[in-house]
Amino acid sequence: MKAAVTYKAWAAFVAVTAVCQTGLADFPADFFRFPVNAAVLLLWAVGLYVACTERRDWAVTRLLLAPHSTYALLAAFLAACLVQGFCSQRLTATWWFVGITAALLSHLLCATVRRARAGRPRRVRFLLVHAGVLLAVGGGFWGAPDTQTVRMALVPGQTERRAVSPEGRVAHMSRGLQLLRFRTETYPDGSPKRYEADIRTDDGAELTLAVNRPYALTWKDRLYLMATTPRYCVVEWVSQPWMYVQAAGILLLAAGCVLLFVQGTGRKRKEETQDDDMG
Amino acid sequence: MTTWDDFGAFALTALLLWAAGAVAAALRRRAALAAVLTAAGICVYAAFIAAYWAGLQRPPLRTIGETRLWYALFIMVAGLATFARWRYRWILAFTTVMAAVFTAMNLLRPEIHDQTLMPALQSGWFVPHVTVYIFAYAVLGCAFLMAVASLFSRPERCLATADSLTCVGAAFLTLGLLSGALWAKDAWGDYWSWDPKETWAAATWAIYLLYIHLRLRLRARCRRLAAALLIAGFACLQMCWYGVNYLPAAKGSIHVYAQAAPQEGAVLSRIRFTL
Repeated sequence: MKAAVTYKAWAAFVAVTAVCQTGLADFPADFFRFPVNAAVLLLWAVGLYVACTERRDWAVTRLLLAPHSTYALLAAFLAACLVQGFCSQRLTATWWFVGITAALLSHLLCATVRRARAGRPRRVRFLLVHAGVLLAVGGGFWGAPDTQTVRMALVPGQTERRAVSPEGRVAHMSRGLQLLRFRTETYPDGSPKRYEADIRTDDGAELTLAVNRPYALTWKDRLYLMATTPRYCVVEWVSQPWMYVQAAGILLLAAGCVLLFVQGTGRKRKEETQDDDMG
Repeated sequence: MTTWDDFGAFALTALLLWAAGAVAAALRRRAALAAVLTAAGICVYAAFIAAYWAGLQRPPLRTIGETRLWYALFIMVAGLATFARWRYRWILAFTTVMAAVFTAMNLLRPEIHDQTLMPALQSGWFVPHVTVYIFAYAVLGCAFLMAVASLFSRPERCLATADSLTCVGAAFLTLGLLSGALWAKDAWGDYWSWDPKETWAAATWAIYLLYIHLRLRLRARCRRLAAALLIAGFACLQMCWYGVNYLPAAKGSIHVYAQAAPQEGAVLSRIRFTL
């Protein structure tokens, strides 16, 4: 596919997402909670795999596999990050931000599938880096509707089940938490040095929370100590079932980066000299 | 015990050695002497950081001023490695000027150092995350210098060197990003929360990824664009490092550690739910 056609196609795509944003509210992420997101993810992954392997003549496949799509989508993602960087308002739920991220992930999946089937040099590095980004970013993207973060204010001696969401909605949690005691240490100038809280769950388990030391309540739920005041502690309850997908992506990407460092550009010095002569 | 008051003597000694190294590098057949002088300066600067670390009883990585210390050290390490590998005679002079600027900033604003380390920074991820990031910044600083040089002479040779530096820098930048994500999961519950600092980190990362992909395929057809991307990447990197603190968007950032508020917990509590 020609470069100009590729750039025009992606510009049109971004324009459509911008039109959606002006005509509609933010992207309805809540609709994509499990199992809807899992079903859509399956359709998306299988559809793109089939397109990349069996239907390479389709226009959409050629667009997604075009090298210039990498430049166009990375530039679009960069522009989206810059807009968000200068803006105080959270824009990551807008149609255009979601659209650009989805397009980038689709392109990434197609490129990964294509390279996995071709025996080119540095294939392992390519697959580690690209599959790592795919899982790390994709896990956050597809798993965002299932992530739930709520806050609980715990007063010593009382068992609390109520929590408040960022939108101010009150939720009743599956387990009650009782604050047994908490400790706060400060530096001589009054700035905080350490704070910890001892907590008992209503099934009798006792745990200690501190900053940077969360507690895994279940495979998907973790408790974090966020703040202490003279009267109570604030505990954050984060439920994030897709965190393992992201963790797997982070590990793959880290391994790919080590290879990137070791192998470098992979270009030979002779080739550099030839290029210099040409330049 | 080594304190901040000793920094001037160490810094001056190191800067003199680096300047002598840069002069030796500019002269023909003095490459070995240049490398030795620069390495000696690096050892002096590193000795101060190590002794200051011991005196502070915490890693000197908390404030912008402390990260500048590491940047001045790493930009010289990256400059020396570039000189040893590719023999650019001018690179040590430029890295010395950059290190001198960052050292001078620290000498002029010594009030930014104190012994406190707030709870959020008391993590095993603190030292690897910050040092890996600052090393990436330093290597990408050298890539920026090569990009500027490519605008004036021997573009492909300069950009080929910039390619290698960007590969190393991007690898470390990504490792810094990933260690930050793992730390954020432990500290705040999510790997990524689009905090202003994280957003600028993503923008910086995207620029270098774009550069790497463009150079992989287009090479000679995109020299000016490639150089412009490295220059923009360097500007974005400065934004991510300290520029973001001056943006209105950073008022609610969970990454602002320079002024430790007495009620950090309460501040965190308020901030997290406004994101």
